[in-house]
Amino acid sequence: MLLLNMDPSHKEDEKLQHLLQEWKVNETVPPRFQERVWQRVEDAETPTRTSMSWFTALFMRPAFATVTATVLLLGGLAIGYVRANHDSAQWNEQLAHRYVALVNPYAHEQ
Amino acid sequence: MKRGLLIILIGLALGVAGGFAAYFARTAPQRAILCSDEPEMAWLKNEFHLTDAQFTTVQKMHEHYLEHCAEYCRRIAATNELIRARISSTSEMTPELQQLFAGAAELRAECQAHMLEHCLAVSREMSPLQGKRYLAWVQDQILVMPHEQPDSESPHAAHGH
Repeated sequence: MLLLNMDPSHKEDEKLQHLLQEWKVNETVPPRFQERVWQRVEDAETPTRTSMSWFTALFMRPAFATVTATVLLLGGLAIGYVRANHDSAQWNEQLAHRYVALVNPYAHEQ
Repeated sequence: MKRGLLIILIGLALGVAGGFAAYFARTAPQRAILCSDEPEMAWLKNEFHLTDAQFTTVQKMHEHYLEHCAEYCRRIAATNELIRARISSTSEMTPELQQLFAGAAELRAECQAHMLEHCLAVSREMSPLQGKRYLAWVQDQILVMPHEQPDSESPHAAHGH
């Protein structure tokens, strides 16, 4: 109402200034108001945490990363060993066949 | 955050390196055998734990055997060729074909006896335990019927005569 009835004249302007100076806010601010405002500002600025980022964060923790690294090392050793066993057995079998083929002229019939 | 990532990357690198190291360490004996001049004989030495002295003797026996084996192979090939030629020129069983088959069977028996003789001699050069193991294994390889072991490797690629 005050703004609608505002007159651009100097006299009215003075009146407005006077009224504004008289205006007092009697409402009390809720507890931790400022902290909450800043928290909301921060939340709005940072991206939403997904389950993926939580998962990544877990792996990035030094203790958990050490366990992961140890598992990776042991896994690598195990894969190498199992693969070597498989290949060794295969080569052994091939060599055994070759030896038989060397001494047995009829081996191709078997 | 960066420290955790670094630890995981180091673990991954060590895992890959460890995997390769384990593979190459475990397959080293087989790769050495495959790269040797006579992989089949090197395999025999490794498989039946032959000493250098035993291996030298077995190798000489093997070379001696191969000389005779080459002669057998030549005779087997000639007999087979003759049988094929006769079969292609006739439509019924002839006395000549029967005789050729009998000759081929005789040749086979002779060859197998010679082969077994060689294998027995090789087994005697080994330690008693390994000799027994070799003989049991070689019997399975030599005396089995064709339908008992259908997936054997062709010999003529490796037989070399």
